[in-house]
Amino acid sequence: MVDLGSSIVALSAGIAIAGAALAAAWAEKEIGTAAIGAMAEKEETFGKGLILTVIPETIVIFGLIVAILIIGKM
Amino acid sequence: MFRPEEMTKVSLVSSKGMLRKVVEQLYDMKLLHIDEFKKADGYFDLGRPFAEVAGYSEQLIKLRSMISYFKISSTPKEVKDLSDAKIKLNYLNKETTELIDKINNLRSEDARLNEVLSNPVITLEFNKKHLNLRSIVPFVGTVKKKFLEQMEGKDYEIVKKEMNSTVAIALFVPKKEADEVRKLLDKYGFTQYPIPDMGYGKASDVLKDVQKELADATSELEKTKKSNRQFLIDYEYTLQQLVEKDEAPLRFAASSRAFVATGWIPAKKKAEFESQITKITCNKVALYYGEAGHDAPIALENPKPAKPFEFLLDLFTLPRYGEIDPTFIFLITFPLFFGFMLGDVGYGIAVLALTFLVQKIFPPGMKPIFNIVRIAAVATIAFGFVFGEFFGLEFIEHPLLNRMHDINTMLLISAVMGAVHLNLGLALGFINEARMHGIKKAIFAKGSWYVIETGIVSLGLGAVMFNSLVLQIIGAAMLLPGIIMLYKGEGIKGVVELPTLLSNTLSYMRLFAIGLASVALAVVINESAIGLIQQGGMMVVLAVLILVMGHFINLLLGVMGAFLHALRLHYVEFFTKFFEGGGNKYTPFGSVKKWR
Repeated sequence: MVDLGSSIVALSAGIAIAGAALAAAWAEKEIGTAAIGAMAEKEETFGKGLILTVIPETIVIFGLIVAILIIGKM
Repeated sequence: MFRPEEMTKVSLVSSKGMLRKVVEQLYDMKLLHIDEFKKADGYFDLGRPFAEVAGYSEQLIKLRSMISYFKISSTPKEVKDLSDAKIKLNYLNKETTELIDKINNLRSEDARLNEVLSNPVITLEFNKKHLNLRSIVPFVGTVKKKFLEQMEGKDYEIVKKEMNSTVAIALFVPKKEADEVRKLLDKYGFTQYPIPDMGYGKASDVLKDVQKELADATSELEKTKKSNRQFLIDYEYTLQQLVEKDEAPLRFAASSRAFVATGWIPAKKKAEFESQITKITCNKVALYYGEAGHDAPIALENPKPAKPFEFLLDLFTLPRYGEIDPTFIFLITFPLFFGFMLGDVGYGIAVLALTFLVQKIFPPGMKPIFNIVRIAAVATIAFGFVFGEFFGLEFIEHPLLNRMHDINTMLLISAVMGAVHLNLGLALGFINEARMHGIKKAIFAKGSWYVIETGIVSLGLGAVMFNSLVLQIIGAAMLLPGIIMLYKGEGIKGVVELPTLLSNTLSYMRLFAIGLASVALAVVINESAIGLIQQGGMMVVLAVLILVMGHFINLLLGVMGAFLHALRLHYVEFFTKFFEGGGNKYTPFGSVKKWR
């Protein structure tokens, strides 16, 4: 049986990633829709659209690092 | 290698009598990227296209509408006899238009007849004269079967035919009782149907005829399409070239007697260009050369292994003339990042094999992507040996690095790779700035970042590693002038960007994170399969299925993830340090473009 302390640590790490991932997903949804819209008008905007769409992905990486730091405290 | 091909600006002046010859020659040489003349208030006007162009355009419209209707494609050849082709096209166009009209008419007739045949009242046989009597109201349609019970004992004339849940009726009611009957009918879900103008037998006979005619017409059209496919494609290709030639004067400046064509040619082709043009015009031409400015077209020039990576640059935006062409850096860092993320001997081999298997299915335009993935797959195999992984299994007992356990080392390596990559970007930015705006601007705009970075490193080392106050003070002292320099170089925009030093470096942690996710998934697949194999029996089949499907999906996810994230690190983190882009692609006059 895992003790309460470690389970809370594990749970917090999970929340750190989940929150960051949700935030990134939300942001990417907004940008991605707009980018597709722009692409429908002008196909050359694909490169720019792709970049703008993936920018929020970094948020998840932050979440992951925070999670790793939390796990490290175990 | 690190620069787009050098261009020379050239202006060609000659008398209008030479126009035709010059255009033909330019078209055949495929060297001049025309700088389109824009009319301003001045001496020069736009040139006039050659007279043939109107006729050609008209035929092109016919051709293209036929080609897109037939949805055909093929490798084009030149058509030699143009007048013959013109007659053939007109005939073909008339014939197919008629045929298509006929098919459309037959189709609508077919639809109409089908509707008539599905009309439930068509089989009812009654005297049509009753419909026109003044004293009698006819009700023709379908109604629920229960309605018939209501009619028992009543003396109306009724013709009926039972169907699944309803009954088709033709009911004739004296006028004064009509309202009452109508109410009753409504209660039982009466639907009125129009009375068909022909009987069931006749309609189905006509339908048969129509369908036969339709089949004949369709097969005739198909035959026309098959036998003329190559002709249509060839003629379209030929006309397109002719139109481009004929319209070329529209892109030149012209006076009443002379014309000026301006554009760019690759600098190393200058001698060839000059000798051919003077030869064709018997020296009656004046050529003026000039330096190519920032608006010159871009032809990327890279050694063969780096060529496929030009595709990734083209996808984003081409560099401006005079800017650094980062394609060669892609060749080194892209496979490095990709391999570091996927890093598995088995996956590397599988990707390599898959690229050779599936390439044929994809259009030839995708070829560069396959070449990129192949190079990246080799890097994946190399990193697979470093991490000691084969489809997630640890086949080396003590690998150089274990991705599942050496988390801190892996994070550190990722961050260091990021720092090196970013600083390389800043260095390229320094060179770009120095070339475009002088060394002073370069020092302020890009050099300042180095000052700030050194300051931060010194501060960090002093605080954490050496515990030295002197180092900390030096570090802090460097930050302030660094920031001031940055403000002078890039304005407030640069200062706002300062936190990206941290966020960009952290962003490279994905190099490790994506790899970890891929390994973890592979390990889960392997462990669940091993568990099943130990149970034996039929479970072994299931285990094999899990292994194959699981690794296949994980491989697809891994390749896509690694590819996109490696690309993103270049586009977002790396390029923003130096790359401006926005160059036009070098498309010399005479290089045929496809209209589809």
